Amino acid sequence: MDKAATDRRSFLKTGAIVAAPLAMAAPAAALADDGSRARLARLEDERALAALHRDVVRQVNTGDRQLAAGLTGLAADPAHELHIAFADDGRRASCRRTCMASFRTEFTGTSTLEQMHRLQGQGQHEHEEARVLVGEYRKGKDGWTIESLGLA
Amino acid sequence: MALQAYPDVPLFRYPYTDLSLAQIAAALAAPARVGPNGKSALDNNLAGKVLSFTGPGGPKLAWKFAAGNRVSFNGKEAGYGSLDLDHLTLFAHIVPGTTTAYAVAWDRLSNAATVFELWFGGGPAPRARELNREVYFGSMAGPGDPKQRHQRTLRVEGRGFMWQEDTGNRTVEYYPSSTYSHWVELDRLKDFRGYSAPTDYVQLTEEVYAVARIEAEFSGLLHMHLSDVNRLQQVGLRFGFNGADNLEFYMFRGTGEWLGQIARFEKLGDFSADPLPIPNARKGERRVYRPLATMDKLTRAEVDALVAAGNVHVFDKPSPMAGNGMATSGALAGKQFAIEYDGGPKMEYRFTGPDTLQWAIDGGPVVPARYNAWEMMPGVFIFGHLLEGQPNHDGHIVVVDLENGMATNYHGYLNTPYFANEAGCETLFGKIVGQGIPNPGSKRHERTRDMLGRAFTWEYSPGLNSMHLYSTPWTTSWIIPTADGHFATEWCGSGDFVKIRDQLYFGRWQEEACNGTLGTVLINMRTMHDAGIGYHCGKQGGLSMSAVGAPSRHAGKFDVERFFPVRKGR
Repeated sequence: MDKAATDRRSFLKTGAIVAAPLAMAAPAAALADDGSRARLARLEDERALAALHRDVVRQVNTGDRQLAAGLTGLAADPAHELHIAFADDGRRASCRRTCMASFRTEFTGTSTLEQMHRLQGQGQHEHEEARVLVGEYRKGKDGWTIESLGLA
Repeated sequence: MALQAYPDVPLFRYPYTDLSLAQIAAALAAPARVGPNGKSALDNNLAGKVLSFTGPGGPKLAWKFAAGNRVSFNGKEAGYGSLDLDHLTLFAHIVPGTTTAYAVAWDRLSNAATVFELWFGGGPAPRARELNREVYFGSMAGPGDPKQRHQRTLRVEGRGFMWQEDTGNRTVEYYPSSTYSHWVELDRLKDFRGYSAPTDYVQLTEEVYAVARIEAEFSGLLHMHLSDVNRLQQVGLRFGFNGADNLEFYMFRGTGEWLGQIARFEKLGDFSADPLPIPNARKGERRVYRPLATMDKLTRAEVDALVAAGNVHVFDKPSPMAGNGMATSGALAGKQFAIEYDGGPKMEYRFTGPDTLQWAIDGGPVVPARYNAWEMMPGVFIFGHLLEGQPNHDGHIVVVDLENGMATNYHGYLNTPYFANEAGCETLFGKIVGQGIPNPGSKRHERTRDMLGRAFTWEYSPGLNSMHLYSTPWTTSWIIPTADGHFATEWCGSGDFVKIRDQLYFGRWQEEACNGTLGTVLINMRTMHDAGIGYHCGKQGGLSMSAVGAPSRHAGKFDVERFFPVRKGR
């Protein structure tokens, strides 16, 4: 897999290159064959993947997607950018985003410690952990779809 | 079993009589008239005084004292007893014709007072013989600052004392909690075992505290004292029915020995002292751990059926007791050795994978089993597996030191005489025989007192924490913290402690008459982490072995070794 991860600097740089043609609404045919077409396609892929990754976060937070036992919420860490690594053929991508993950643990077991925690009114516990949301995506004829998701 | 005032079996095995309220009332009648007795003469010096108590949210109470230890209360005349501790007085009496009594701590300088209202029957205690108490803080009418109140405190949390009454009875009292205490009777009980009970802690002055425990789940009696922790003197009251169903109603003076102080874990500056309030609580209600009531109790046939149905789980799911545990080790895979236990079986092992092995006992058939192992020091492993097919559904939890050729096994088994699903345990010492493993000769791991008096916190999973207190050479106690770091409910069971290497200790606890688990931990005091294994049988989880593991903090060590006899032999 091509490990040319898109960090903040390269993402902005690429974005700046393609922003002007987009803003001018220039026809694709007018683009010179200087690699701009590929860069535009890559930028569109990055935007699509970022949107998909945001959707995953939203779905976790609305309870529509269960990524890990006890996970109740994800909040993207603004101090970290989304990292995208494309496969050589550009048809697969791995996305990683540092998030603050909220968990709720229910101590429903029969262990003595769990029983005593429940007795003390501590039958559940909420905590946060810094985790990395990892998504593996595949590009098909209808665009990017999720292959797998997980928290690292 | 013949009734025994102080049983020669563990208190959790003793069948305390379920006394009726009528029996209790009858037993209280004469002592109510006479008042408490004492080994030494009581002070009983309140004649002529009238004490009127008021306090926020509490009742208005009045006592009128007369000569000859007479007191009038609510229009009834009773016998009282009182003892002074400097400018503090403890007085107590039963209200005639009732099953109610009072114990009152009164500061004669400030007039601040704490009233313990005590009653048998009517709850919230589940049995009539278990005393209930409500504690009121206020003041006696008269000069003094009415704002100066006694109050619940956590200042005693973490301390330990040995108190000796004028009766001669000595008790090691540990206060590792702000709502429970742990005590070891050194004279009346013969097995030097620790017990835990809900306890009230009240600060009376900077130096004097009221400590009152109700021996819930056992006799149900009250043991309370006002203790000057600076001068190491106390006055106290013992009230309730002992194992022979005889009423104990006596007051005592005592002297103490300071045994040490372990850490508290509240946020610095947090002196709050009611960590387990109950919303809309009934009078006298508090959070009392009653383990026997909640324990699964299975017959031998039920246990056998449960196992036959395949309700057996060996390291097959994440354990909340090991959320912060160490990674398992696969380093035993490929190894083959035997363990010859002194006076026990010879176990032959072939480790066929990182979590699969084959065992044979005393040359019997080879049986496959699932295991997990952790390497806690180089060459030292703890591993555990069930012995499928054995009539008692045994589990072996073994520490092997492959560099020294020694092994120790906490051999767990079911079908104890008490509950079929309660784990019994024996400690087996042995040597390892295998290629490249040194022969230790007659040398073995040995029991140790290095852990005696120590306390360790354990952070098993987020929100699931405890502290161990190794209170006697044969007792492990555990205490549960609140979310804000107060330690609160506490319980305990039989323990054992073996030294594996310097700073590496193999300990266990048995949850007897309490959930039935055998818990084991191999504690590395260098890394301050443990790895252990729980062996349990219950309705919900079936027969199981599961991981235990947590980072630790050393909370401290009490100096108590001199109180416990050395027992010879293994």
